[in-house]
Amino acid sequence: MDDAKTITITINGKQVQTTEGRYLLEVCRENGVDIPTLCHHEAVSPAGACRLCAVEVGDGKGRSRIVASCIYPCWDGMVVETESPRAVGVRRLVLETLLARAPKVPVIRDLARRYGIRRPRFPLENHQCILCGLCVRVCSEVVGVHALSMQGRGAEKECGTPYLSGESTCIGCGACVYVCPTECIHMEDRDGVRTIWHEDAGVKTSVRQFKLKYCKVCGAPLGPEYQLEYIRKKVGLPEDFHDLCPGCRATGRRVAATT
Amino acid sequence: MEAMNPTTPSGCLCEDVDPILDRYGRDQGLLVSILQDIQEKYRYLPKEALERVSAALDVPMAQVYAVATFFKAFSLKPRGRHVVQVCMGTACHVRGAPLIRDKLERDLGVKNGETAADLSVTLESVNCVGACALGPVVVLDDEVQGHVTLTKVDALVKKVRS
Ligand code: SF4
Ligand code: SF4
Ligand code: FES
Ligand code: FES
Repeated sequence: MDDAKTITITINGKQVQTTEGRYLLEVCRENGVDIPTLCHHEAVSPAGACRLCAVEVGDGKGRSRIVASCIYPCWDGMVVETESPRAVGVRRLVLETLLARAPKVPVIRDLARRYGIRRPRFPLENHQCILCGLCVRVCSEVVGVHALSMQGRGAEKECGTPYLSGESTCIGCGACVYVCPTECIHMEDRDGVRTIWHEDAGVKTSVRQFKLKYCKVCGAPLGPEYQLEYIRKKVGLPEDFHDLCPGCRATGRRVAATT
Repeated sequence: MEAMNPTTPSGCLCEDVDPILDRYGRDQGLLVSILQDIQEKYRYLPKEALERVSAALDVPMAQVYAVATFFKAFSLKPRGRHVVQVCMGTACHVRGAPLIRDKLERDLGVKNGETAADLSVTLESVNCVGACALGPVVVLDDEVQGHVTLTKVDALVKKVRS
């Protein structure tokens, strides 16, 4: 952007320069100020889903408000307090509700402990999924497959494949498994089959299975057949490209060159 | 009334869905209106219809499904030819709505929130239809029935059965 304007903002009393419109969370982190997050990941667009990144933003004249820093664009002269009693209070409340929803999830427990929350005032539930939507965004924005979505609304909201069924556009890449902060998406490779599923409150949903492909020479696992085919078509690789693992392919080339 | 004819969809449903899609110029931005028309046609959103919409509009199925499950007006499950809604809002509740609901469940032979296997009727509860002064209220096929008593339920059930 050519018309990007350089601005000065104050974070916890320290003046820093940045570009107008950048998201506050990024700017804070660049300047060594840590803010906890659960629904944020550099690889995907921010969603403001968890509200854990709450900070206090003021105009320097005594007026201030709480904002979700991951989706809040910076403006000139703003005064940011990340550890003010108000900001910390909001984060505590967020963690208290999250702990009530997912009391057994390690990241949530750790964060709650850090904020001095032992027992939430709210009735305990037994979820793992915190509805952060990271799996959905990774699948659509990074993988480009759009296999997942948030479904329903309110208390019945959940995430998974359409109809929570195995029939979906999922290619079995495992990106969602990797990005899920609460580890409620599982992946298992066994007996030549990869299985990926969501598991929440003890219920397995969106169970999808893929036949795995192995190197024709050394037998090393290459990945789900369907995914390899998807990549091959997308990139325009030759049909037999995924018959061999990279090692055996290189050896094959060397042998061909010397004979 | 179109909704009176039971339609048991099968196959790809293109024949029914495509005209609806065309009516809206196959515009992705009009997804909700398209789904509304499909819902009107089948009284619910059949999976095959959603798949057709997804393919025709080039909108991922996951996205179509997210929209379909977001709005309360849409149903993903088949609904009955008649829809009986019992108001369980506060005003109706204190005037005996639970008794009305229990009797409807018994007499219609369907649980609250469910549809009869023969698709004759769907029974569901709603929260306040804005006619509190008439409570307890039952809505039969969009028609508000006020001051419902157990005897009135008999008449309602008869209407559904006829
Ligand atoms: S494993 Fe499937 S659902 Fe998960 S990111 Fe990859 S394609 Fe999407
Ligand atoms: S499954 Fe994981 S990544 Fe997806 S919404 Fe739930 S917590 Fe977030
Ligand atoms: S990290 Fe900002 S709302 Fe979740
Ligand atoms: S509570 Fe039943 S109509 Fe308002």
